[in-house]
Amino acid sequence: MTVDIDAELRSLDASAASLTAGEQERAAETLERIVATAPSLGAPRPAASKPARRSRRRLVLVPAAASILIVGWAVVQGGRGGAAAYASWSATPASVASDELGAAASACRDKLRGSSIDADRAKLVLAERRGDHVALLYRTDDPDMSGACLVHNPQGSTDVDNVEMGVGGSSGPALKAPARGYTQGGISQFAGTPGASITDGAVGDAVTGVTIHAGALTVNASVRNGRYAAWWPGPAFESGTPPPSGEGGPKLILTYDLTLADGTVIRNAQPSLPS
Amino acid sequence: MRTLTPDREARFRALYADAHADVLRFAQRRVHRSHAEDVTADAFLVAWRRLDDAPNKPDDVRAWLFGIARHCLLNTLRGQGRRDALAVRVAEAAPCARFADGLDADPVAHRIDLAAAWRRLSETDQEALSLTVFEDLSSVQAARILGITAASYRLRLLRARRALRRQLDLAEFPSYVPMEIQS
Repeated sequence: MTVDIDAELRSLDASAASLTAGEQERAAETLERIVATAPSLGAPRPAASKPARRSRRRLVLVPAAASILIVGWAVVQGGRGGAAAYASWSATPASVASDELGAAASACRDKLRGSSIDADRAKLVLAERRGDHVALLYRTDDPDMSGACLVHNPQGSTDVDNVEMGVGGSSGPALKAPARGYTQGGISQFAGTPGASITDGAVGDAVTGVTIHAGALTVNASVRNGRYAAWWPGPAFESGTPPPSGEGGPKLILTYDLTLADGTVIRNAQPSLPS
Repeated sequence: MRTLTPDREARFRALYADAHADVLRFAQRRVHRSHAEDVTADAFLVAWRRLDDAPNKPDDVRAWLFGIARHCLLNTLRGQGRRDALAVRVAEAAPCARFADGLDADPVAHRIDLAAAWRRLSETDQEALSLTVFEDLSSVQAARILGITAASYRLRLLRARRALRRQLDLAEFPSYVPMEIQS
């Protein structure tokens, strides 16, 4: 009977018996892209001779709306609960002392190991403090991957606990943002009450400030070295359970204002799209 | 060190050629087809970096890749409640032409019941069954993917089979649901 049911179940297999021509072609392209990246430590190898066509978005990528391309999203189970968990949060970030940064960065990198980002090769490109929490952003540009951590680290202490982590990106190289624009990078929403969200992306050379509106909250992002990052104690997506795949994924509640070097403020700026 | 690179790349290319279709099918059973390729690409990117950890036996390599793909999926989906297991999809089993032609309707009805019973299983039960039925893994390989012992996996599989049987029995003998009576 067991054998019969197993056979019947196999007749209900949701997977395709064979690859389509398009899948075969993309599989071949993916292979070339993968072997063109450094397998571990060290600089990326020269690009493969294949055209550097932007890869298909990864699983963690979801176009939330026609005009927005989110590089990645994830809603991650968080351990902390209660509004008091982020009571010390501030809308404007502060710098992180070097000894505190060392402790937080080590904990973050450990957390990222085994995830989709190459933690050994990823560089720490940004760190910021908001109250008792430090946010860190690790990056590889090829593949375009961001690993963001939210670490509980009371100021003046090297004690680190409750390390939350989100990873997003694509298997292609990083996109450069237009001079007066930005790209929307990984967005992680940590479950809980109130929960927290963290995001990052690229900014153009003329952009000096990024202000993110997340519902009722206004967040001044950290901007450095062509990247921005910010986190806040609240959601990034409309409430409701996101679907298991990115198709018709959760709707963002974020809007972005950009401040340029000449003082111009671009309100409700739209992210640039991959070519 | 650099002299090892060609061997490493050749080994990876062989692994990719052997296992890509299987990993893609593993992903297609767990996420929408439009995203299965991305999951597969994720898994192979991790495999490329961790190639030194790959087992030598082809069957074990396949299981190792499934484990990586599962890890990628769990990392992404973990926010939808605590996720220790992945739901596995089965195909729709709608009445087909054979049914309409008046050929044996019972197998068709049974397939519909089986698909419905599968969807009522917990993710843990679906995953345990899938690793044996769809991915055709041994208990040892499936257990390694789930991070449990082979004995624990066999027990989990037994429970999953019983759960499926219970759900099928429910389908064959649907419980009577009385209408609400207003006094």
